[in-house]
Amino acid sequence: MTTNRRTALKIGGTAAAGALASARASAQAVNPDVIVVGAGLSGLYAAMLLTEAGATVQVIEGRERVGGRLFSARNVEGNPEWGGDSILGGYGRMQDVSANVGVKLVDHQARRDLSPESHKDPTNTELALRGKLIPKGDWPTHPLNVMPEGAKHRFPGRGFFQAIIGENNPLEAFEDWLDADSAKFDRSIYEVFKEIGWSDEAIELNYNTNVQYGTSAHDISSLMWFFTQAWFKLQGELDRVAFKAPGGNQGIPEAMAASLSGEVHLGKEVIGIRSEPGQAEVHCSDGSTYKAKRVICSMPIPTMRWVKFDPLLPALKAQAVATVPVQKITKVIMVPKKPFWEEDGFSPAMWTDSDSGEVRALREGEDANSITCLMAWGRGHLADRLDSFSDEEAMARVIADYERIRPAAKGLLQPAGIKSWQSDPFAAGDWAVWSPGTVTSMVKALIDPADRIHFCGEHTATSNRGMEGAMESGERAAFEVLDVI
Amino acid sequence: MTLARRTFLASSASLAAPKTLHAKTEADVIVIGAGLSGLYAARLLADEGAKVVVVEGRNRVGGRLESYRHLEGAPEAGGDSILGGYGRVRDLADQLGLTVVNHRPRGRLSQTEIALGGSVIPRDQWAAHPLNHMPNNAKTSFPGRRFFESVVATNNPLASFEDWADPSSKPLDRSVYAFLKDQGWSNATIAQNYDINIGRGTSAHDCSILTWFFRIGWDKVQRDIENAAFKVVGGNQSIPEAIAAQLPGDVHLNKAVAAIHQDATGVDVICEDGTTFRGKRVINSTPLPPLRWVNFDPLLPAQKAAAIKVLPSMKINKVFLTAKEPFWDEDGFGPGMWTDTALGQVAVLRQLENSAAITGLISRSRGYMAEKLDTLGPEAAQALVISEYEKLRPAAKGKLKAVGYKSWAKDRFAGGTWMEWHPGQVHTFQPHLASSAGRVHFCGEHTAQSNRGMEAAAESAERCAFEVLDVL
Repeated sequence: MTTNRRTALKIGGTAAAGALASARASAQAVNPDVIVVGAGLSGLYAAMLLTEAGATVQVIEGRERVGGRLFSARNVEGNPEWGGDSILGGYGRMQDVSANVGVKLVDHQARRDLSPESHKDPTNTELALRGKLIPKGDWPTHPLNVMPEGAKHRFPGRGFFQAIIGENNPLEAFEDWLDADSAKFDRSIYEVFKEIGWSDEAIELNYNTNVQYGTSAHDISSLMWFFTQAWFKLQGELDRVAFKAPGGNQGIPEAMAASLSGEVHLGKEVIGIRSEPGQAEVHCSDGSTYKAKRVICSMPIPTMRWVKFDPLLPALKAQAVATVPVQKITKVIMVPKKPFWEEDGFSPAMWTDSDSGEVRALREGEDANSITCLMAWGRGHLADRLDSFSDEEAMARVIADYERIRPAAKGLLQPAGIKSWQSDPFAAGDWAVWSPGTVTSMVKALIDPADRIHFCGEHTATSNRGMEGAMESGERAAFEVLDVI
Repeated sequence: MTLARRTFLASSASLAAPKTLHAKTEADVIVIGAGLSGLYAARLLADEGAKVVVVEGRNRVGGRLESYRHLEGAPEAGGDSILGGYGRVRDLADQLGLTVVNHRPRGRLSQTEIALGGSVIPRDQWAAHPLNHMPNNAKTSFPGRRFFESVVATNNPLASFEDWADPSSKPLDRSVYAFLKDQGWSNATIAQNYDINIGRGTSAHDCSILTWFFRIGWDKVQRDIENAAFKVVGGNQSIPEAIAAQLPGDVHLNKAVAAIHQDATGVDVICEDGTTFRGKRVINSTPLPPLRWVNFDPLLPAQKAAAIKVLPSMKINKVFLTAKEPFWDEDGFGPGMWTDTALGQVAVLRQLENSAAITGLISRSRGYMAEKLDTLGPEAAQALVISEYEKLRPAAKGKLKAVGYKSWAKDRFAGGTWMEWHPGQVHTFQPHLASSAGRVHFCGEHTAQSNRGMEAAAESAERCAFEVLDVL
């Protein structure tokens, strides 16, 4: 399908080029056809496609860098990712575009299989509850084990509940999630767990601890999970790979930006977007104004709340922008001075119910076998907690918690950085999450254009998530614009 | 009734005294949180003879009463006004020997300017201004909360504000937006009068109008009792400080609670630093957000646990400003402004005995504008607020200094100011907020039934103290 679309685009582009050229000659020569707001994956991909089709495009970006939620920790060995991490088997657009802009992706799947937190072998991640490590052998009969009957031996959390969701997934194809027939599943995942007989304790342990989507089982739609679980499964079935860009995934949007004919204007924080007959205006906080026939807004939802749209966005779209929540994630990178795990015999990767959250051991260096850093993920309410401290204090808290669980690590973890996506003024959170009822009522509203403004970004994707969701949405927005300019 | 309870408590307390089984601080009641509700509950229980220990996460008492005493006249970062009908709080201030002053007349001394679309709109130009989205019959009205409230007041279906939590009010538990559309307001009118400098929630979509029906009915009663807005001389924080000073038991500071574990005979309150306090009963007075990080064993009942996880809190950031010179004399506008920027709403502070003297300005950013400031961090947030002010008022250029800052959402012992209600949440969760769970009892403004603000905290403390006295 990707190839078909690209071919179509090329043909359409050639045909459109002449018309566009004459249209430009009659309009103000200085104004581009399209302003793209945001130089993340979706915005840059839309800009590339439009340029390829012969449109003139100006990309503006609020940050002093391109890449958005692709952001590599280049101060740390192997450039671990603060944002989007793995390019999966079904990420056709990501793989194609990376190749086209000269980024040779490297498959890290083999390293992940070595990695202690690999889904393939979850027994290697250690379990730590209430500040104490629970050896694997002790878990099935441990007093804190509240796993459902028949699953006492299972490691709690994502791997387990996703398997349960897989067994109970009523969607025939994951793309059906937006069908009217699926609306009945647009209720909380808490209700689904209760119906299959889970106790509140089992839900608290398996869903709410290191919560992946939302902040608790109450505020996430089971429909989002049915879509996501089936989609993840397909990724693995297509090709079991986990690509990364050498030097960090941020290199992909950087190369995409470099491939554009014009420069991306950095430091342009958008404060207003006005649609008028014949043109749209984008106003920035530094007083500058851009004009074009159309605007593609690739901004994440929370940052759109600070933009004045004139005229106001249509009611339902305004409501979606005002109310759809985003995932809270705060990550801390710690570099071990010594392999302390060899001393105490436990894996450095841990799944905790305390300030460390979920700690992954990353192998990002030249030597595929060696652990280069640990990354602690604080999600949902734990991210809120970490955010309420200063960066230094938050890192110290995570390390202190890790050391409390693992005395062998005492003094051996060097804080290498912290990233709170909520505290990033150009993201204000990570991906969009769908609370019960909002899949049915809000997804389409977020996608629909408003006057001369078109929207992309992972929150507007319908058939993919993550980086591929961003690319899918960029493609859709570019086609939308090509149809009308 | 009080005397009988005291006698009862005294005897049971002496019976329990020798049972010291654990090497931890023990008491009849452990109160978590030294804000107004926790301390007032502790005071009531101590008056009845109970042995009470208070544990507080911060290095100060007062909670969401926080007076910035390093600033002239000790302006309030938190709870500001003691209204006419705050019987408990006024009585308490009196008992504690504190002096209160009515600040209401001061609020009317300067005009607030309307600043939209990047400039101040002179009042005489407002009615015909292109950015005026007021309803046709109200073109001259000042936009925002007061106008919105007047419309709610004339359409308030609650016979008594106390009916808000009654099951019969359930059909009213819908969005502010839905209500305003019923009044014939356009989306632009709603955005201008509700979403800018938002009074409650983050948008008209995510706040229940039922809570406004309650609020506005309650406000009227406050004014009917006495149209006043009192402040304590030296700062409202003096109330919790004076209560704490008079308590017979200790208030332990810097004790952030990590876990609350109940067994057949009592409750362990386990702190982050490893210390444990054990009581026959526990009163938790903390707001909801910090409770999300507390490990409960056993878990709280399902609906109560859900309420803690999902109920939102109001976000308010305050920047305190001083002016080197009265630039407002130069440009002829009042220093107070109602803006659609991150500056939010700017009020004039008159904190001294000389009620006319301007001691500073306070900018309040609410909802998503508060979130914006939070993404920037304190220094950049204060700089942005000043720069937004200067953009609107060139005469202020270089004359404003930020002297104080508060983000309630980023305060880890608060996680916001007061608790809020999304549409539909009142009847789902209200009955579960005040309910006790085993040996743990709950107070705090979010558990009040008939009041808001400081008086709600005091009301809830009273209810909770009696609840505990009944079972000690």
